[in-house]
Amino acid sequence: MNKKTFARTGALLGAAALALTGCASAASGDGLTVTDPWVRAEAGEMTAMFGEIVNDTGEDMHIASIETDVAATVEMHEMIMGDDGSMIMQEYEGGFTLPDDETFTLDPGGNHFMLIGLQHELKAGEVVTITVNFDEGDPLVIEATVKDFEGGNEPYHEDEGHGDH
Amino acid sequence: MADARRGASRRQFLFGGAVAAAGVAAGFTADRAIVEYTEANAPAHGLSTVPFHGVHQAGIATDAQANATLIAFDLHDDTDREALGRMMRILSDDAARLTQGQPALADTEPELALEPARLTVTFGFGPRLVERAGGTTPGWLRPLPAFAIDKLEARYSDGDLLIQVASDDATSMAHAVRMFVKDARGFGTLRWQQRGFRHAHGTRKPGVTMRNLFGQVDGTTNATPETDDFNELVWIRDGWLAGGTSFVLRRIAMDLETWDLVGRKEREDSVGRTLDTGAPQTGGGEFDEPDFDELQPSGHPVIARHAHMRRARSDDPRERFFRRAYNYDEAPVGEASSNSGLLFIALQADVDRQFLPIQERLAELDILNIWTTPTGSAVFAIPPGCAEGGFIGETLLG
Ligand code: HEM
Ligand SMILES: [Cu+2]
Repeated sequence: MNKKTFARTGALLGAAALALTGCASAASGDGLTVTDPWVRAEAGEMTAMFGEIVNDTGEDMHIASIETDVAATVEMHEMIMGDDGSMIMQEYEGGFTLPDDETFTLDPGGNHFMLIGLQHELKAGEVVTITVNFDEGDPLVIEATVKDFEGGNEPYHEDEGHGDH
Repeated sequence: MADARRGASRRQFLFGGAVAAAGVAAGFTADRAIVEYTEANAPAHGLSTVPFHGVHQAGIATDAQANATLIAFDLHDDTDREALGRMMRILSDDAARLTQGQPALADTEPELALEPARLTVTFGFGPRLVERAGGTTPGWLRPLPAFAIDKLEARYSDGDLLIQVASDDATSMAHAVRMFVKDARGFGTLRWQQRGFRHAHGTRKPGVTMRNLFGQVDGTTNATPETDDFNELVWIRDGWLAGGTSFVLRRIAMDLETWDLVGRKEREDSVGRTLDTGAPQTGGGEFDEPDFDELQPSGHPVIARHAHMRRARSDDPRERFFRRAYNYDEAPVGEASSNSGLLFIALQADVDRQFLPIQERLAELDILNIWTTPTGSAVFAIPPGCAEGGFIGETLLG
């Protein structure tokens, strides 16, 4: 298994479990809804998408792949603690499963969709389309707003240890 | 595999114990509420909201909240029309959420968004923004002419983008201001920030005229929102600003040191109204009409020729505007022992036709000028409101 690890510098900022009531954003796919999807503005190589996905399909949904026009690849990343106690992110082995009847949270400091190899600078206020493909059923098409974001102390910058790609 | 990630063990290693509050950043959550209010724990006023979407922007006809912060930005050189569109989409989205008590997208302090307390956000465009957008600049959208009474400072004046954030709660307001500063700084630099206040919510009955820091009842003669008169005076009828208005800010220092030296009668004479009820010196109650022709036995008019109220009133009823002022009271600078005044805000369909003639009259003669000094001045175009899914400025940038 090609397991990539990403060094995390500094302390992790606690990202509270947001209760984004209402304000539902893009939604598609039967029984799958996305609330408040957003992507961090980035001029460099990579960034991430965050948001909440609610699975009301009646089944656990396993993500097979994710794609977008704005990046060469999209990976599913989780944050884990490295040997030295700092937080690192790594590709989630086997891909995320969205459990039935639950909200799957993607947030700074936690799970995220990692957009790698950006085709152009992502500027605040742009809307990025991200397609999530499942083992079975229709894909989920997400329209995510690009936002400037300094928080979460995310080690997404090129010089911070994305060794093997 | 997903199951292995549920529960406390995962949270623990996410946060190394330090910030391991229950429910924090859990990958899977069924419950999405930060705080759930019930009848028992609901705050008295914090959850009150003012609609963001509508024909007009909120924060103009809205009964003035207890606090207001005005922030103005200078656009970066490379903020072009396309970038302005992105900027206003983002800022409108922030405003739509925050005013309804919901965290902004990517809000790092979501808990601070939950008690908006009638939060409103009002956007205004300066001349350079309209020019960058390639729009038609109304003739009045330019700095006011210089007046002899002025001692203007750049740090209180002008700007390309105005955001007026107002709320009955200063904490909620500060959070909103922070969100706007974070989301606007990619497009411009913060030029100035000015903070004002009125009586706290609940200190007085709603609708009671505020007092300024001279102790005067301030705001008596003013159009009433939602009336034909108000609509006629305030809202612009055509072009990209239809449904919008113009916003004049005058930051006016009020010298409490020299005001101290003035007796009560002389203070009342300076405006032509009594200090206790704010009634005209010619009698009646606060809202009764003054009699400008009434003479004292000496032959002098009861309401002095130089009185602020007489000078501020034109014979032409079209030369009127809507006033929505806030007090300010800041740390004295240098030798001074006071630093107080008004964020005087005037709203009108046409600055040149309605506001300017009055400001000219007052600059020429107004006894209040002895104790007051304009230190900041700015003029903005307030675009109309937007519907859900739209954004403020879409009639210019869309
Ligand atoms: C620190 C500066 C100022 C103070 C302390 C002040 C105070 C007052 C007070 C106490 C009143 C009487 C109550 C009322 O109707 O609100 C008044 C009325 C008024 N003021 Fe001012 N004012 C100031 C600046 C200005 C400026 C700069 C303008 C416009 C250029 C202005 C325009 C008016 C108008 C239009 C009225 C109503 C007059 C009427 O009865 O028709 N004021 N002001
Ligand atoms: Cu990552």
